[in-house]
Amino acid sequence: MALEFSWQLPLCTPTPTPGQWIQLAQAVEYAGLDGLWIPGGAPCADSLGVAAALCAHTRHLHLNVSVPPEVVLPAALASTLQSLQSISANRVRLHLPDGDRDSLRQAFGEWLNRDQRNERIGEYLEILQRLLRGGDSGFNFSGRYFQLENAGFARRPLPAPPLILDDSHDARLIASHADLCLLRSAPPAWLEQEILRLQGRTGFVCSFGLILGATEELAWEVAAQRFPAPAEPPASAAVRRLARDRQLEVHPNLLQPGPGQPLYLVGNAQQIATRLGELHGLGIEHIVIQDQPAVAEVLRFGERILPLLREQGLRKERQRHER
Amino acid sequence: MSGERRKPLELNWFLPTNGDGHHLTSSGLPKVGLFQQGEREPNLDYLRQIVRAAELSGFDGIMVPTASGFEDPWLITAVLAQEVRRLRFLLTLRPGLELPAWSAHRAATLQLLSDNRLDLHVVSGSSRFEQRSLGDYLEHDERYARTGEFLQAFQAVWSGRRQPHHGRYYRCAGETPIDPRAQMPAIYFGGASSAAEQVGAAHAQTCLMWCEPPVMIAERIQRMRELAAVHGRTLRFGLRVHVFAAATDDAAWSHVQRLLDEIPKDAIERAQSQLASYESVGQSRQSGLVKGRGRQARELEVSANLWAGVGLVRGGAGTALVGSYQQVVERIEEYYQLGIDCFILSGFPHLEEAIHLGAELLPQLRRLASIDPGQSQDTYRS
Repeated sequence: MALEFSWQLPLCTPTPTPGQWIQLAQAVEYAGLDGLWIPGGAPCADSLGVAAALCAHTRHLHLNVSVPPEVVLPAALASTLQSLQSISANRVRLHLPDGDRDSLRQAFGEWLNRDQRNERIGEYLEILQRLLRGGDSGFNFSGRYFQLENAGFARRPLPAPPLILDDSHDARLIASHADLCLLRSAPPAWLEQEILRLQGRTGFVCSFGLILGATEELAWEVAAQRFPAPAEPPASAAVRRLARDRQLEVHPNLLQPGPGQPLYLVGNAQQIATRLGELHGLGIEHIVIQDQPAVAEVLRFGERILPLLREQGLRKERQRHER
Repeated sequence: MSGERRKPLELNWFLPTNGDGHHLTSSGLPKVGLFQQGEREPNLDYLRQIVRAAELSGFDGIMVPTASGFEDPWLITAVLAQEVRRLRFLLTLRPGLELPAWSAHRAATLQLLSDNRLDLHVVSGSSRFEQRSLGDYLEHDERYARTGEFLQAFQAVWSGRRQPHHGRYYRCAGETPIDPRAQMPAIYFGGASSAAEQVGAAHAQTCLMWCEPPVMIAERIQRMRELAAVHGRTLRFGLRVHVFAAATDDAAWSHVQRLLDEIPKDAIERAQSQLASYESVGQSRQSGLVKGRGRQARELEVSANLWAGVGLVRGGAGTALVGSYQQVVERIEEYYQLGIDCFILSGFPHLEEAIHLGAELLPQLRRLASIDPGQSQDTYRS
């Protein structure tokens, strides 16, 4: 199992610009990463539209597209995804985020309770997967939340995109529908437990921020500027600075800005490659680099970290001019 | 009073997102699969040529349709907007499949991706068969009521009104901020039933009609203007029509005769029985045009140069302007005098015909639009 990387697009910033998305996407492709993570939901730009637009500017990157299932009927989403497969030459992966995790429902208007949502997403996934995977041409479905007649009569013979669910989704739903499970960003000990809990037919994805320095010290200096430590450090100059800078380090080379917040990989290229190797060893096959919209960082990652992972045998050899 | 100048004629082309070719059955529905040879897949490499041809030919915009089995209009618009710089996209949207706040949010993203070149064409559904296959069980008139509410909610979200919307079909919390750089798309509206006309009069900016003889169009314009006046509103009107134009009218008519001759009689019967199951008033008006007529090309000429033959085998827009370039320009001018400001033209295949009509027809139509509007205003108002 190789380790794959996707870079997250900054679609959720207050004033996103398409030119920057395109530039970042092209850098990610050029730098030899595997895909883009295209977040969806209330404050972000529409992930499906952005993914389609990027098909005009990229050739082989996977498009991991996050779509909140609460806002569109499953059969409509299925035909949209078939179209995105067609436009992208089968580069799509679908992430359906767990609506409980954020304010999606309130933003777009949904008021079911947790049990109802679980039941509803179960029906939703069944319809969606039958329509994407094909097999039956025109089926009827009669559920509590969705009813369809002759669903899929106009289905096109295209491969189904792999499905990614969140670890907070119901474990049975993950087992029966997900190809990959997105773990929340957390320290390795927690990830190990979560992977044990969910192990079965699914692979695992996890996302991290990235602060890559020319040296370890430089990386932690940048980290300290971005995430000032809350408490007063102990006395004495140099020791004090080092201690302060690394107060938020919850595991070697992993910084957590606050409780429940996503983790950052911090260090030099060798350290980060080692840490990625450790995460891979836990069973994670796909890492999303988030919160790092700079083209310079994409190229540094491609030029300094990917070769180290290749040496460790963690990268799939990609053919040149692959489509 | 004829003080206000009429805006120039808006001339749009059509994007065949479920296939294309030389034959009457090559694009649109129902797909009868008669002529596999030379049929073109609606893939990106083909569709990008059509939008480029439409832009180079000088069309203002292109209509992007929707139906089961078609490329998704949002996605194909997003990707094709990257190919051209000036062409506008008239995206066909069916309320009822997604929440209005999300549609607004998608439209705003598309405005950013296209430099504000998006307009929306709102249609309320097709056949019961297709609606149910998507999980939508509302019947015809209720679908229009839902469209009305959808447009209200959509516009409320866009204008940044923050109070929640609690309607019969939708509830929104009113907390989806729209990027201020994204302009509200213009709303084009389709529908010929009285339920549709009520909703269109209240919410649309431009009412689109499949082309019918001028006397029928004049009557609909009149009725819609009266309905809109009740709401204190004015409307623009648009026509969707195919074009078969050639240097001489003989050449144009023998071309459509050939297109007709190649279609087996039973294919026409099969298509007609499928179209009869659509509960669309606009469709039955189109189908009504061919009832009781012969099957020779000129027997299907329902008013001067207006040919109903496409509707024998194709749903939706079933009429075409057939004749010499000069005649087609004259007919378009007549509709313009009746109050039509916008045309959505198409021809088979859509790539070659965008180039052909761009060269032969558009320059004359552009001259037409620069006629002194003061002169035409009286006819237009009467």
